[in-house]
Amino acid sequence: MGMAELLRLERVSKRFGGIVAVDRVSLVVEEGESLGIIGPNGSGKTTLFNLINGVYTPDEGEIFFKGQDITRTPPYKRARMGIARSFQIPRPWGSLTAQENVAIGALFGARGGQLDVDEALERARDALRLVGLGGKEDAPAHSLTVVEKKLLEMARALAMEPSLLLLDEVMAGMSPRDVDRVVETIKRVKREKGIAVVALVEHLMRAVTAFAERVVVMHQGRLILEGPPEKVMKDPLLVEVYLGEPVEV
Amino acid sequence: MVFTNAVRRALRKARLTLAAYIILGVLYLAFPHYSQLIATLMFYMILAQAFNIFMGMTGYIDFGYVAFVAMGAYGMALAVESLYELGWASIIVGFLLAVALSVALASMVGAIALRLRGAYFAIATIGVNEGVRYLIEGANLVGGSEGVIIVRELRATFGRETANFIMTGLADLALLLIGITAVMITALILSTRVGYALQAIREDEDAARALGINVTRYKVMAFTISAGIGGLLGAANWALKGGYVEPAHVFNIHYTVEAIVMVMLGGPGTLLGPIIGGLFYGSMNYFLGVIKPGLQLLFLAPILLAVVVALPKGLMGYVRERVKDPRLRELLT
Ligand SMILES: Nc1ncnc2c1ncn2[C@@H]1O[C@H](COP(=O)(O)OP(=O)(O)O)[C@@H](O)[C@H]1O
Ligand SMILES: [Mg+2]
Repeated sequence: MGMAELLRLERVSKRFGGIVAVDRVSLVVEEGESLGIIGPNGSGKTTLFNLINGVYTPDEGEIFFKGQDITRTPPYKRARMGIARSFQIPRPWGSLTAQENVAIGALFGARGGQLDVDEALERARDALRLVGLGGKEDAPAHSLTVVEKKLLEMARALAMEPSLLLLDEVMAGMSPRDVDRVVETIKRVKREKGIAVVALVEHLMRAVTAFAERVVVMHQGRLILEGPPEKVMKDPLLVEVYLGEPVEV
Repeated sequence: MVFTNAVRRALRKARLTLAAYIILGVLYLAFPHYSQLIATLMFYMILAQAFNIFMGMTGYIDFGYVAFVAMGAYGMALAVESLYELGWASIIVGFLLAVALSVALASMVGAIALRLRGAYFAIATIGVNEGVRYLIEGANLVGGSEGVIIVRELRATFGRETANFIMTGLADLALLLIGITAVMITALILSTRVGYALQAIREDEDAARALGINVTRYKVMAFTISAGIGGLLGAANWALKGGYVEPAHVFNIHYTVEAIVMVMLGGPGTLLGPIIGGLFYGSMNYFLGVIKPGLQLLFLAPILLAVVVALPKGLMGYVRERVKDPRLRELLT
């Protein structure tokens, strides 16, 4: 288990007009940790990711990564420092092939500048195989199914060789088989490469319990619960948060 | 090592486009009667190629593009006008000044306009072309609305005979070399991380940022390279070949529209696309112009409309989506 601190958020807030999407969130992610963030739709999970990878600058609070203050660092620099993400609604570069999409991750990620195009394409092939997209190398990204696009986003992020991987609802809508493979992949990159993984999950609690060492619950922009998955899943507060919504444990 | 690999990949991709220029060069020598048609075709091919490096690869449409070509024409004209006593050196300085002026304008425009997205960028750039033109005409700079005429200087330095050669054969040779340069630059961009960065920006700029791409840097890079090649084109085809530069001509937005049409037609972001677009549009322009001047414009709109509807990614975009064999894809870059 990594003991060193990788990411630290200190009382981070983000408002959109009158809505406080993220409300004074403090959170530490340790090196190589697997963390699940759960919470109902609109609880601020995606906004939290956008703050961590730099799409938004917080209205208040600070963010540190590997000990450096990155509160105002642009997204591309954070990516090079080792923060990789997938998007909730996949955003592959449609007219490029799957392999080219992933190769760009390798060319510009944490090892950006060290790889030749041919080497990056070779790495892309490995990353595609790792997520179960072997054989799809030459398919234009726009022709992939939604699930394949999600897997592609994961391969693209992994090709960046990050130290922190942010996955936004990557398993939503997947078949149990695909979910199992994603969980296996997360465990594997954690084990083999020491990558810390933070996954946002709205409904798929089974997947969270399968991969996460720690779970935090988000509700109306706040972190309201934290602990090992077995404990959090049994907490009455969780049911309250999801009131009226299906929780699949 | 990395660089020689990229050059090798670039040369493999550029085989057909380079062949097109070499064939045109041979035809030029073999059929002197058609030399001006061939030179016109090369002008359009280069205009499309230069425009493609920014618009085709990033998806941003620069409606003020012709201003960069104009800067190049002024660079050459001013160099010859003031340094003609130096002989050939004044022409070499002219090409250098052409690139310097167009790149300088591009850096200034880019620093501001490239912060804008999509339609906002397009609107901002329209103002640039008109702004520079009225600055020159209104403030009566570098010849004002009269422009700069260098025919007399060329004749005084080189004699009538050589001056005529400079304005025909040499200017056309310069076009050929600029075309080949544009091919190699485009092929190199497409063979390195630069090309991948630009394509990622075109497809989804926010995703590009999240993946570690310094979006502004690559946009500025493509913008200035595109402008620099445009500058060389203006220097060779307008100043040197015409012997004069006139604001009403070199700032004509018509050329920008033609560039857009050719790139859309051939396939934005591809290597062969602008060549095909340039050859098609250039010959249409030439023959319709011979039959009935002014008729070209009538054909332009429906052609563009048809292309955008039927082939949204241009001819080469259409072809490339259907070709699966990697070696053939490389040839048809
Ligand atoms: N760009 C935005 N502009 C305005 N409101 C936003 C924006 N992004 C998110 N929100 C709002 O912030 C809240 C949190 O949204 P989000 O972070 O997407 O939640 P989650 O990912 O947990 O579903 C919601 O009320 C949402 O409507
Ligand atoms: Mg979300």
